[in-house]
Amino acid sequence: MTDKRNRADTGTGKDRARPDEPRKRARNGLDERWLEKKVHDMYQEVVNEPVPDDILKILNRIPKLS
Amino acid sequence: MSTRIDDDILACLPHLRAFARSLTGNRDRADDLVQDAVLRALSAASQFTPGTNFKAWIFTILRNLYFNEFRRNRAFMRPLETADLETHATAPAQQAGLEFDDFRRAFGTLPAEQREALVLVGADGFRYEEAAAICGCPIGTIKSRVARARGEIERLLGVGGRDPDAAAQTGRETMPRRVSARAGRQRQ
Repeated sequence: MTDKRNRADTGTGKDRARPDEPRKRARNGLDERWLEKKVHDMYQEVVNEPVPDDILKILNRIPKLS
Repeated sequence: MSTRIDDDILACLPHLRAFARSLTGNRDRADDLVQDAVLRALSAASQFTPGTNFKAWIFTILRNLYFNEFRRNRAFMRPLETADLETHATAPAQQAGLEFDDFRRAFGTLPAEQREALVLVGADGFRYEEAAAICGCPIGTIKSRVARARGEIERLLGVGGRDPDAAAQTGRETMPRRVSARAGRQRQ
């Protein structure tokens, strides 16, 4: 009879928690916020620029409706 | 909700410019794109359904103009080069400016579809379903593009273990890996 207690552990790790998994998930969450902030900052930099007159002139040509 | 399309366009202009800049990476090309989009929106004003999302409508016009130009001229869609990425001139510290430039370079290496997805969802505040409607693709595709974009930027910058709030309190952030101008490849 095979002594299962002496069998080598051939588990792939899927059925036991990996010690680095909680840290990895937390790190991904923090990185997402950092990336979103960088994307937002890059975007807002342009939003805060004055709109060029060339573009505004297009709208100024529209007849004003009463 | 304004009953005049010019008021709606005026309100969207700063965001249109930012979206166009994220696509083209160049101020002049972006503003040309915005002008074309505004003219197209004015000529197609009768096709807009009042009460629906005007910003999403005009964003769709702009991105379609951009990608139609791509289909006509792939050279127009060359990877965003370092020369196109304008330096962040108002960084409070040189360190932050360098880090921001690294982010810009990494962002510029992304394919256009990933850049637009990241900006629409991450900066413009569109929901995934709205971004999907603008891009004319399934919601799953948008989510996939955003995830791939984030993953690629993280890989290029070596982002990991940083806490933005803690960094803000200390006044500095961990310096990410420098990104060379040739980092990444244009992938479609």
